[in-house]
Amino acid sequence: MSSAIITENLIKKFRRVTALNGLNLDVPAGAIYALVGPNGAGKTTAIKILMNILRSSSGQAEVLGLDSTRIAGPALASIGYVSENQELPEWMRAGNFLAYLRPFYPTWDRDLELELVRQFDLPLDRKLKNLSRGMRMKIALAGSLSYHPKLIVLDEPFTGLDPLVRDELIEGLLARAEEATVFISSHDLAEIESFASHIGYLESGRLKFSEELASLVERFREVELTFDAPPALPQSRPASWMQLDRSASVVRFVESRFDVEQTSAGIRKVFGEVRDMTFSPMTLRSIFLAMAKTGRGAA
Amino acid sequence: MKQILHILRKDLRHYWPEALAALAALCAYVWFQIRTWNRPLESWPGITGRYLEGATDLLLPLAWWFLVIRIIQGETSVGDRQFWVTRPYEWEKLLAAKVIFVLLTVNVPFFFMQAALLAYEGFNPIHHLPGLLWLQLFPLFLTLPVAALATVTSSLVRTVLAILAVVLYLIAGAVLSSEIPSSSFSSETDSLQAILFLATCVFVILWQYSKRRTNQSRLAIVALAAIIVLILVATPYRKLVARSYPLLQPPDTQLQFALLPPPKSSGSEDLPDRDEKVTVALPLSVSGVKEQSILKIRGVLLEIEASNGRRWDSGWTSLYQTLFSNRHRVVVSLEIPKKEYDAIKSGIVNGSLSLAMETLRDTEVQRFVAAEGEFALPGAPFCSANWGFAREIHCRAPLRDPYWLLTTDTSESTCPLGEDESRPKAGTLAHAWVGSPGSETPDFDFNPVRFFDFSAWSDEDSGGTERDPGICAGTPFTLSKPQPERRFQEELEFKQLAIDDYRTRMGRFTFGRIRR
Repeated sequence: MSSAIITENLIKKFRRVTALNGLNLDVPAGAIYALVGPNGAGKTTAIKILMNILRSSSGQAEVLGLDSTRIAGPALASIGYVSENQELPEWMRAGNFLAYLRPFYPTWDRDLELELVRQFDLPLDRKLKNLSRGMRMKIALAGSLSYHPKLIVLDEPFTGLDPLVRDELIEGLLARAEEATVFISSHDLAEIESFASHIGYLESGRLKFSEELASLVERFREVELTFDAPPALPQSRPASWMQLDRSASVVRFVESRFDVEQTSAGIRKVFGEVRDMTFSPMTLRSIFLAMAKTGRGAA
Repeated sequence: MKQILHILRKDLRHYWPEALAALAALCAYVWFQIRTWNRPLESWPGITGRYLEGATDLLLPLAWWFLVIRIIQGETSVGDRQFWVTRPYEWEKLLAAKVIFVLLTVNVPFFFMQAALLAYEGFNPIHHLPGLLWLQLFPLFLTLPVAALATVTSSLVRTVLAILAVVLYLIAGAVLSSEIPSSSFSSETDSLQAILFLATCVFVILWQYSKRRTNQSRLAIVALAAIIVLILVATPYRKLVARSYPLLQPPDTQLQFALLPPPKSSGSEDLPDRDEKVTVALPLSVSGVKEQSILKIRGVLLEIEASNGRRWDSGWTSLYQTLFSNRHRVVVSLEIPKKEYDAIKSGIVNGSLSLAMETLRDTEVQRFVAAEGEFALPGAPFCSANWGFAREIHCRAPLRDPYWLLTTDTSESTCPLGEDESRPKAGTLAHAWVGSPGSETPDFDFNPVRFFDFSAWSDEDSGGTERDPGICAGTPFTLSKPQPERRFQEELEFKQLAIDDYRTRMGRFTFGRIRR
């Protein structure tokens, strides 16, 4: 599978602050790639560099095979971009906004536009400045989907939206994402989990890991070990064990390279005899909390 | 082209109130112009009307600036949140749309306004089409700097603050310039500064639209400001003056200057000091100005060495004195800082007085007689010698002031003499200059109709308050086009001079005559 986005050692410094510290990213074409991480991790900066809104301090980025510094003019006709903090022309009415965007895109699909207007229940006669935040995001999304972009870039699109609007946006997005690559940044893991195919975790400007969501969920397990007597916690243990904790005769940790046989063997090697072993699947939120608390990526 | 028109349509729909405001300012300007034009002073509207007329002169560029700032910041280049930067805008087309918008809302109304004003005053606009088109550069030059500032600021308020900063910079520059000797006289670097200024404005606009590198663009503006200060401070003005006005020695020049003794000072009082400066007036006798030749003294440099060893020089200072062949005396006035003056005034001084001069040769002399009513002069189709109570020729011309020197023998004036007036002796010439030699391009102004007066002043120092008889219907006069011949400087050395004798005092010197 070819890549829709590739970055190589991307660095962005704002005076003394390093927002991106050597970002290496590879987003497969056709993926729904979620770039997640805490606030200030550098997600928005990365997206702005990909969209040629900002210039990187060093490193390279390619978007749809084009150097990101050349993403301008006609190149943007195949990229849809929606951001939580984008300034729209407030004085325009919603309908005028879509009509204004139309001639910029040779591939604009009027039927799709009308379909999105209906689906999002957009009030075309109201000025953008009078619309709610959710409605503005819907307008922005409709204005970014109606021309069948090859790449849809969404920067924190769901922040501050009520669940109903979020579901509507996701539904609208997924219905049209089959033919496109979606690159979305978020710190709301619950939504991402429901539709992302790939995930990257960014922290302090570094990509801690990047992989398919299914394999990520597959390799993380919450492990609970029950012993006959309270065991001693080992001095050395596998690097993939995170948040090791003991409570009386129960030991819990998060395994980041889960494999039933190998993990079981590793446990026996460290603790010896174990009365009971439980391996529970984890939600994305639990995985990231574990990683954030441990302060390391999924090695 | 499709995208250009699309953006243009959007802007016209959104910014029509601003465009309408600019049009209203233009209409107000026209209304006040035609109301006050071509009317004698006494029939002008009241003081309020005159202030309003002045206000429209200011209102028009302000309305244009406002419009330009708004239109540029509709798709601001500053920041990283504007929606348009992630849409398939092509910067050349966006810029073209903005330029066309300005042409449509500023230049087109301005063009028709100018054509209408020309027609109103009896000039066929079709005959002056090239000049009218040339004048379209005027609003562009006027709005270009503001456009550059608008591209590097994110809001109207910030742009206004930037404009205020520029105004403060200009004031500081003027103050600095006044402190640098000879800088106000030499204009050798003016064109360089103007080119740098325009080039920076164009660069900033293009850079912002093509790259949106705001910090670099702002840096370019700051660099321009620094370079202009550097040019101001580091220019070797004296060398430039020496190059423009090479020093001549006899026999290269027939001119002879001599310092005349100061007038008697009995009963005179010192003039009050102005800005801690003392004015000295050095009377010079002049001889050797050829017939048909005119000598213009452009600048003066006074260097003094006092007996106590103290030195001072004025730097080159602009002077506007014109000498015709029949004039033999000129007074050169200079200001000396009071501190310096007090240090040297009690003793005698040695030094030199350098004069930067230009000779002109009188050409294309034509004779006329002022007619009753309206009459035509070359380059000024509508002239009148009966302009209210003024005894002068009042003309209007299309697009630019023609270049003429008017000469009249005041003894041949047909104007009635007042009770306390006597007819001057024959051969007492009076002159009036209009326009300037060289460029034939129209003068940059809002108003394409040029109004000017041939207000003739006699050459001789009458020493009193006697008024010239003036020019009335029937008065003969000549018009000529003196052409610059050469520039040079002469140095006049003086020794054992009591400078305090030349200090300007009450009742000592009268420059020119009191008229009206």
